[in-house]
Amino acid sequence: MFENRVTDRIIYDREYMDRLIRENYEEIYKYCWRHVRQRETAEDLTQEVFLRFLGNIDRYREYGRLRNYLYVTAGNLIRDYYRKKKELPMKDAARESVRSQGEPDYEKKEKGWAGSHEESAEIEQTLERIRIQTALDGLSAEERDLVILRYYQGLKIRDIAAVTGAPASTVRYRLKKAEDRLKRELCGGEANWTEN
Amino acid sequence: MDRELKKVLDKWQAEPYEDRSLEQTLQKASEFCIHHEEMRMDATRFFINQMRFIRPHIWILKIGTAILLALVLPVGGQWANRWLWTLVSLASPLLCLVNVNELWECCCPGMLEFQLTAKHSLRQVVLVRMILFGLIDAVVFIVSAVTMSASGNGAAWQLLLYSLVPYLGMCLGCMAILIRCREDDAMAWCAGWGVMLALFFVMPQSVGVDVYGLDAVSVWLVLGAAALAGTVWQTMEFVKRSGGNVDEINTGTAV
Repeated sequence: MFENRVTDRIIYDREYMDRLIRENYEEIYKYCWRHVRQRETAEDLTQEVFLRFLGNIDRYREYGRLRNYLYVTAGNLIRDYYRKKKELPMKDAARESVRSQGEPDYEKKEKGWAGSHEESAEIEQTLERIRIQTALDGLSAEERDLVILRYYQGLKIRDIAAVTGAPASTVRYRLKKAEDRLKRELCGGEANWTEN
Repeated sequence: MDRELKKVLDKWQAEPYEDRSLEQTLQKASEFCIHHEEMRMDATRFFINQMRFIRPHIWILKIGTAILLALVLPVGGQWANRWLWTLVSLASPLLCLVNVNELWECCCPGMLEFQLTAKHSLRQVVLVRMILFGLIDAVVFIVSAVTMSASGNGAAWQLLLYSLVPYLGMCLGCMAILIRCREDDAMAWCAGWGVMLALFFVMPQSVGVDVYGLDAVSVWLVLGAAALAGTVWQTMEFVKRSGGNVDEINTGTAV
């Protein structure tokens, strides 16, 4: 009911605008990062989300929670980003994201150097990350978005429905499908995992 | 949410962002000038734009009243003169009552918060609407006076006197009510005042007092002067307090 007061306060109260950005920055950044998997790109997109929101503030109406509106803007920007950039093949994308997060020293391992216990743990974590990313990449874009919103951003079904523009029943159905597929690959698939 | 799946998915942690990127975003946001002043209209457009906000039925009622006067006045000679003037005296407060609702909307409790969205304050909106209504009603009176004079049923000054005095009386009462009334039924109170005013003119007529005779002109002038003075005073008070009552916190109407 009082959502339009948000825009009034943003227009007239700079401190309120700063607080609003600070409160929402991390979640929007994480959402962008989980899609693009590169820190710099995610930061740029996040900045663009807030600037676009401010630029269109006269058009903002009561869409429910403000953060849902920011997710919608972020989703549109991510889609634009991929339209401009050719998406890397799945394997290369996984390697790319690992590289940006810090690659384990495979050379030392190849030389037969056992390495420390910490490095082994790091390798395992990296492999686990690749596994999860590969499983997510196996989903369709809509399903991946639903999983990110539900499992990583912690949104409720009705909020996801507001963000994606789909009915809640459709969201539940697609999410269930995605969950089943991910479970098969991640929770039931550990025995089938190989390093090659 | 599948907790087992959540446990597995949580192993993929997001790379943290750099603080400088947040600071850069805040910096760009603060530089980002929201050009709201460019979206606002200038004074002339604002004045004309107020006409758009006045609802169509108000215009219809005003035009209807003017047409009624235009139709009745030329043929009014068929009636006894005093009842013709009574009709004129009753019609002019009606013209005022039509305006009141549009002014009341600017004075509802809580309207002050909406001022935050506007370059032009509610006080300015009220002033503009009053000027608009005043101009239109003045045109109606002048046209009626000319019609009356042309039809030969009376002098223009008579029409102006016998319509303006009740009109000013109605304005005085409505302004006083709008200043003091906190409930949504201010219109009902104004209508009640209008009825009382009408009785004030009709009752002496019905008992045979010649309210519209030449002997009573001085009484009309005195009443008119008093009504004018009271209207000016109450209108100034009303304009000062318009915008949802700046003291609404003190009067307990703030939500």
